[in-house]
Amino acid sequence: MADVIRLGFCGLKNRESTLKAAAAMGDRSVKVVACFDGCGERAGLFTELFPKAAVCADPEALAGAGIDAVVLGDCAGGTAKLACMFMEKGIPVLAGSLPAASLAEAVRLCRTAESTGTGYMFGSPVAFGPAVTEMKRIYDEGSLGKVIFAEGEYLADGSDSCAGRAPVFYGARALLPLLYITGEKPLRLVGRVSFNHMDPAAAGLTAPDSIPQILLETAGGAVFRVAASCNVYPRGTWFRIGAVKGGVETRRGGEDEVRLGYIKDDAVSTYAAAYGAAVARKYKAVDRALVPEILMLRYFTGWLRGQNGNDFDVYTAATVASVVLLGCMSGLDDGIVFPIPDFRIESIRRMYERDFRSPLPGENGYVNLPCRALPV
Amino acid sequence: MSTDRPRIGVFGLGRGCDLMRKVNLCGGQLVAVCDRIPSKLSRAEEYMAPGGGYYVDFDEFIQHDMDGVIIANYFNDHARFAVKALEAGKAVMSECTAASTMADCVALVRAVEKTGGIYMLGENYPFTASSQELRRIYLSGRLGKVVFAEGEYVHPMSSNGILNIAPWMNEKDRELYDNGAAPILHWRRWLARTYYSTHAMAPLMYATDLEPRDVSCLAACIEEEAEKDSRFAGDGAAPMLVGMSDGSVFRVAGSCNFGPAGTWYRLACTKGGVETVRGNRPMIRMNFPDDRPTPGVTVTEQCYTPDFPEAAELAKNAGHGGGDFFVVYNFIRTLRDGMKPYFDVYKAVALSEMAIMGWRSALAGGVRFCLPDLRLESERVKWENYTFTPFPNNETGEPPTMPCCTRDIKTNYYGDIDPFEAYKARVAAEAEKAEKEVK
Repeated sequence: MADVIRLGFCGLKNRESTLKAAAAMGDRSVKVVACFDGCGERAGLFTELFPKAAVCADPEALAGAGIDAVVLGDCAGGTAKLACMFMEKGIPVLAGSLPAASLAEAVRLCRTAESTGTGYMFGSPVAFGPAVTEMKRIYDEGSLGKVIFAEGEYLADGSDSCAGRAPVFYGARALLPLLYITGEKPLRLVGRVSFNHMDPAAAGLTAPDSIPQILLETAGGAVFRVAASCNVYPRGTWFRIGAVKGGVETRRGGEDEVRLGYIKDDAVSTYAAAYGAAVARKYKAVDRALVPEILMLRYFTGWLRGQNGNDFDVYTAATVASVVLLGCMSGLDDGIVFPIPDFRIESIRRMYERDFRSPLPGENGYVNLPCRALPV
Repeated sequence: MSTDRPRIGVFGLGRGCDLMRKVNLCGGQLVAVCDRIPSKLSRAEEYMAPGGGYYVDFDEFIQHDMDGVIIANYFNDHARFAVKALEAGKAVMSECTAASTMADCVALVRAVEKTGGIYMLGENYPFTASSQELRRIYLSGRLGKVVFAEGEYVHPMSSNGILNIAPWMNEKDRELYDNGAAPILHWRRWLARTYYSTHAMAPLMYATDLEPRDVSCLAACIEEEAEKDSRFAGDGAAPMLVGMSDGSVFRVAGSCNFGPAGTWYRLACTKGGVETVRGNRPMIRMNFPDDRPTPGVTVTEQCYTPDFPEAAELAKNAGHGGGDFFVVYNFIRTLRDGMKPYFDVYKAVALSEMAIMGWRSALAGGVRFCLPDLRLESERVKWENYTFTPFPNNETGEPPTMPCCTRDIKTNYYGDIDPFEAYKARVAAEAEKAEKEVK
C-alpha cells in the first residue's frame, strides 16, 4: 500500500460524519481525493471539506480517479454490487450497510473477495464508540468469563428512506458490535415479528416496519437477541453482555456510559466510558461524535497497511447480512429456524447462490420480500 | 367460611414461611401447617392461632377446618396437592409454578371447573410498586399499544449456592436424608431454564392484560461451564420469544445464570416506552414524544420511583419488593370479599404451558410451539396424558422423562451410560464427600 492512502467516497448517504471525520483525522498518510454520489445535493459538504477533491459522474469514473481505497455509503439496495465492482478493479472497500441485500449477494461478495484477493471491511462506527470499545476491553480481559446471553438493539428515528427497512438495515448495526465484542459466530436463528398496530401516516413515518426480534445461537453456545426498528421507544442503541461471572452493558438512556457488574460480589458500577489515554489525547480537540468515525477509518487504513487485523471482514459482513435477512424471513414465516450459512465454504455457498429474496429494492426498484408483518 | 378472618393453612414451610408470616397481617388467621419434615413445623408456633394443627401428612392436613390453603411445597409439585385441596373444598393459593407437566395443567383446570373452587397463583413479582406502576401507565393508554416487551429474572447462583438451600446440605434437614436418596430428587438440580419463568412473564401479563399464545426458545449451553456445575441443569439461560394474544412479541427469560443479578421489565409501545430502571428495580423510566411529533425527536423522559397504589406501609416491609404482601393480601380478599384473583387457573396454566412448551422448543432447536387453550375441553383431551418432565418424580423417585439441559442433546455427554444412573453416582460421591467434611 502507498505511503499516502488516497481515499474515495462512493455514496454519501449517512456519510456526513465520516467525511467530517476524514477531514479531522489529522493523518497526513490518508488523503480524500474523489467522490461520487447519485444524489447531487450531498456532494456539497464533500466539496466544502475537500475543495481540491474531484466529484465524479459515476462509480466507474471514481474507480478510475486514482483512489487506493473506497468508502461506500449506506445504500437502500445494499452495498454488495458496488463493493464487488471496486474489488474487481483491485480497490479495497470499506462498506456501509447493508453489506448484502440477499443471500445470493452475500455469496457473490465472498467469492469476489477471494477471487480478486482485494480487501473488504464492513464498517459501522457503532462498533467504535466509547462504550462498545470499553465493553470489548472488559470482555477481552476475561474477568466476565464466557458470554451466555447478549442483546443488541438499534432503534432509529425513522426519518430517512430506510425507515421501512430498518430491521435489516439497522439490524446489522445492532448485531455487529456483539460479534465484535465476543468473537462469537452465529449458528442458527429464529425470528418473530410483532403485529404492527401503528398508523404510519399519523406517526409521520414513511413505512411501518415489522419490528422483528431475532434470537440466534452461537458456536460457543450463547444466545443473542438482535432487534432494529423505527417504530418503538425509547430510541437509541443498547448493547448488553451477560456472562458466566458477570455482565456489562451500555446504560439505557446513556449510551456512552457502561454498567458493569460481577456475580461474586454483587456490586454493580456505572461509569462514563472513555477511550484509552492515547486516543483521548490525540483527539482532544475533535468533536466527540466524530471520534468513532475516525477510529473506524484508522482501523481500515491500518489494516490496509498491515498494522492491525480485520474483525469486520467479508465473511463477517456476509454473516451479519444473512442473520438480518434470515431473521426477517423467519419472522414472516412464524418463526422457522434457519441455520446461518458458513460463507467460507464453497459447498454451502452453492446452496444460496440463487437465493435472491430481499426486502431491499433491486436495480429496478422491485422488492420481492415484505419487510412488515401487516400484509402477511 | 369464616368471612371476617379467613382461616388459612400453609403447606410447605420452606418458602411457605415467608407467606405464613403475612397471613395474620393481611387479615387472615393461620390455623394449620404441614410439612413432611417435622422439625420445620415449629417455625409456625409464633403465628399459629390457638388450637392450630401441625401435620406431616397432607391428606390429614386438608381435612383441617379451614377456608383456604397456601401450597408452597417443592416448585415442580404443586398441582397434585392443589387438586386434592380443591376436591376437599378448600380455596387454593399456589406458589409458582402452577404445574410442571401438561397433564397436571389439564388436571388443575378440570379440578377448578368441577369443584367451582377458588384457585389463585401466588406469583409475587407483578405486585411490586414498579410493576403495578407499569400496569397503571400502560392501561392509561398514554403509550399506545405494546409491540414488544421484555421481562427477565436474572438470578445467578453457584452450584454450592443452590445446594445450600436444598435439603440435606442443611444440618436440620439431614435427619430425613441419611440414606442419600432424597438429594438427587431436589428440583433445583433439575430445573430446566424455562421452567422458572413466571417472575419474568407475569408482570408483563399483568401490565398489558395479554396472554401467551406461542413460544420459540433457544437455550445457551456453555459446555465447559455445564461440566463444572454439580446441578444437572447446566444451561446458562433459555430466552424465549413469546407471541402474545394481540400479536405482539415478548422476550422472556427466567432463572438466568449470568450476571449481574436483577429483574427487568420493559414495554416498547407505539407511542412511547416504559421500563423499570436496570439495576434499580423500584424506579420507572418512561419515554415518549411530545404531542407534535417530530420524527426522531424524543422530547420527554421521566425517571421516578413510584409508590404502591394501596397498603404501602404494610407492603414496604414485605419480601420481594412488596410482592409477598400482595399475594397473601389478595388471597385473603378473594376469600373474604369475593375479589376475583387476577392470576386465575387459566392464566396460571398459560404461564406453565409457556415454560413447558418453551423447553420443548429449546430441545428442538428453536421450533415454534403453540400453547393450547385449556379453557377448551377439546384441547384438554389432547394433553391430559402428556407427562413429559425434566424433573424426577418426588414421590416415586422415577427418573425424568426428558433432558433438563440442552447439553445432553447437543453432545453425547454420557455416551452409553444411563444419565440418571450417572447422576445418582455423582450425588452419592458428593454425599460421601460431605459426610467426611462434617466428621
